[in-house]
Amino acid sequence: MAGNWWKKPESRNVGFFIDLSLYSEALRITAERGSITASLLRQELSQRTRGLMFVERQSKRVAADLVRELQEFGWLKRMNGSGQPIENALYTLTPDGSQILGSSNQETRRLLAVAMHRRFTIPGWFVSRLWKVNPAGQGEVILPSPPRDWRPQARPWEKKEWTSDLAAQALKASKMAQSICPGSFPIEDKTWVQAVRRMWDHLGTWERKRRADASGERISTFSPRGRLALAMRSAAVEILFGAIPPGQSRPDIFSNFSNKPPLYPRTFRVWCPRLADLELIFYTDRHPDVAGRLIFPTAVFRGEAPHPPFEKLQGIQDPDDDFLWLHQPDWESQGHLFLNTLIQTHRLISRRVGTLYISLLDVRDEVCRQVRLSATLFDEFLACAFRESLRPGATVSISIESDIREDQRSGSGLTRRPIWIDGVPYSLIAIGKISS
Amino acid sequence: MAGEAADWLRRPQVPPSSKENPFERFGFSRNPFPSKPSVVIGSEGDTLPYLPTLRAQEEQRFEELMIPRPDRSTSRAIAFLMDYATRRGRGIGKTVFLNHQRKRIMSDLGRSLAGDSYVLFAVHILPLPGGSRKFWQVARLIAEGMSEQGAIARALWRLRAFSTIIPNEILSQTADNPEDTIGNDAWLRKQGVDVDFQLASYIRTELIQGGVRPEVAKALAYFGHDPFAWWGSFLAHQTDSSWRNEGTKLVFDDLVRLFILAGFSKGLLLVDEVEKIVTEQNMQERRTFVDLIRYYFIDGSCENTRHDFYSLFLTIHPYVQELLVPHWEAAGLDRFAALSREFAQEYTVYFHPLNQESAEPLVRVYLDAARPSESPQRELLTPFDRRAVEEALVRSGGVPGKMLELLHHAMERAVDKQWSSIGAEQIHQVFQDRPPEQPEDEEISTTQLPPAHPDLRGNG
Repeated sequence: MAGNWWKKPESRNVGFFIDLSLYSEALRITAERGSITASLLRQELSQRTRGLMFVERQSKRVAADLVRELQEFGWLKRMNGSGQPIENALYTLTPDGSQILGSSNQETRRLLAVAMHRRFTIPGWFVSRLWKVNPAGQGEVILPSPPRDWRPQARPWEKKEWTSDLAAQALKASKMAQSICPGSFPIEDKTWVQAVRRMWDHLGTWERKRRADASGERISTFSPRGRLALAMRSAAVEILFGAIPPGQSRPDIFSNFSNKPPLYPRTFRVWCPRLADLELIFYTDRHPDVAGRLIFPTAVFRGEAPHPPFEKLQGIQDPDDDFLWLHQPDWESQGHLFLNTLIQTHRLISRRVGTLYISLLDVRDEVCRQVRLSATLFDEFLACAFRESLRPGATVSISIESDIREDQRSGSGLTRRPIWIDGVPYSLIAIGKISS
Repeated sequence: MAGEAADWLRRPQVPPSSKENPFERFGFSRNPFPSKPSVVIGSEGDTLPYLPTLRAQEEQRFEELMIPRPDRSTSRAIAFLMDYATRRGRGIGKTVFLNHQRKRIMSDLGRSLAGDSYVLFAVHILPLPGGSRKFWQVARLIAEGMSEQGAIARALWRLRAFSTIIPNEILSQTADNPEDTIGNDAWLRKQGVDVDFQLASYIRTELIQGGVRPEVAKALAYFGHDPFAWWGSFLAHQTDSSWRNEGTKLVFDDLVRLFILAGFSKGLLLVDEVEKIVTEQNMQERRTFVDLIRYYFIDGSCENTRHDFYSLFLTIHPYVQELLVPHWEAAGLDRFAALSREFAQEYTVYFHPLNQESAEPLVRVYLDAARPSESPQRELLTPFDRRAVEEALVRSGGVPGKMLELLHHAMERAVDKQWSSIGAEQIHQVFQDRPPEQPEDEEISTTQLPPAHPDLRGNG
């Protein structure tokens, strides 16, 4: 640790992939072949899904980033000279890398969290920052998006000036976030609107994209909603996740005074899903009551903590030398709380929607928020609750369905994490009382 | 060459009966559980064992909602069959249930259910995936279902019987086998009935006077008594264009008039797998479809709404409810058949999950169906034990179709592995080895979200 600061990241060059199973698969392939190159790895990596989106093959960049990060973590080492371009360089497993292969999925996640923290500092720092932004709300933070009922018409590309309507929408969004979850967006109105406007103007300098069709013409219009959402997200990342925590005057991360922020909007996009998979945070862009991204930590820095429900993550300490403790309750002790929250949340959403079967993903987002569970743990708990409901004497009946909902077929809904039970993605849930 | 000729002329041979029955050591004539636990209407699968007590609650509710009786108010014009949080909608037994209801009604035209005051028929309608998104396509399915499942033929047999052209002594011979007697022109001719001129001409005139369009009346009078003939002479000649333009007129005007002339009081349309209609539709099609349901079943200008003739029983797959609700409410159908919110239960038959108490009798029915009638093991669970059935129930999520499939595989495995009995451990083994399954705008509330329950800075 460097005084009261988080240490300077050894690298900011995080790979642009979010599927953490790529690490263990890459190690397994290397072990099977003895050595590997990035281009060979790309061919060997299996098909996978991201949310419900089918990914047939990883890009060249992902393969290169994967090999680079594994080398940086000390799990792969280069066999031939450093002059080779990364695509052709040969890599082999290190003893540490071999050890990872024998680990369970959960152990691998923990080892990855520590390795990423050592290299990038972001995992521990991000959790700590969430707690700093909203300590009273247990780190619950909202990055606002335009209100869902604001649907302006497309504008000609040239008409990019900032308007009072845009300012009003940005302001309304931040007020809604603060209203629904006090402390989740503790930014002054003026600071917020100015930041969003600056980002809006910056986006206006971008070159027009070309159409994907054969014409190849440049697009002539843009969506004000889409651009404002992007400007708001970039502004929120800049304010909430800059070197200086909101409302404070000193940075909390060593930046070498280079003015480089710990996170850019681009790297923020990668880190959120990575940290969620590592079970350090939970985030959602589609919480039924929140316009924007809701993030909260499922871990906390503290001196000591009871085990269970906490699990100490050796190797990640904050500047005060507190350890990172993951909230990992077990079904035996917390099952009843989970089940009650599940039933209550289902009842509320079902009453609002008017149907018995509702989006399981919406239910998941709110249950995880209330019980402070990771998405991985939610899957496990739901499987337990479901099996319990089938036992003789159960008082509730739980039904889960694997239909693909219309809102999961495109856009961000396509990549929204489904609920996995026994390898099947589920998206609908109904809960009813069992009549005698 | 001779050998090749013999090969291409070869016909499937019946296997010698002396072949060893691997299930004999358990006292079964075959694997007691079906390899394909699904119902194909009109096929051998149609005869899967059915345990009425298993769905007694649902049957009672079905009768309350759908069957008219003099001692209570009218039945529902539209009602729903829906899972009551029973996990997988597929395999839960809805199709078997619908098929059983159809058979119950058609066996005596609803006499045992509705009494002598009503004459009913029921048709089980299975939408085609990708071919049922338009209302006229559904109308065609209804017409085809009525034909294939004998509702139209029965109406014509009744018209023939009521015509007074067939003497009573001939009519008295038709009760047990109407299809081969009053529904068979050759038989009637043999009895001296003038089928071609007098009988058909009389029915044609009756139908036309009753309001049936002349071309439809003619086809019905001459061919309606025989589903195959009616198909070949009329339905097969209808193009998509004619279904689009006149299909609803046929189903909701002409056929209603036919059924009323034939003395029917009500027709029940049991529509299975509504998701195959709704999920294929875009928003506009969905809205139009729902509007047309209201028009043709509730208050539009057609013969069906004037007589409240057809009752529509829709099998709602869980997700379909959410897809349909906004359109259903926009069309004002909630006032007539609430699909959602507090009044939905007044129009819905909920399918409850299987539990241990109901699973065991179901397993026994299948086991006994494969045992000789004199077997001392009848009504026993052997070679299974209670824990095996419980394990199968839990592993299959309480879904009968899946449980039967799992037990089928368990029996096959028992033969291969020479198991003498099948317990929970064996069921678990079979389950573990199964192939992997394939993966299947509102105002924002500003109400404050409830706080998180655990305090991560406290004791969690």
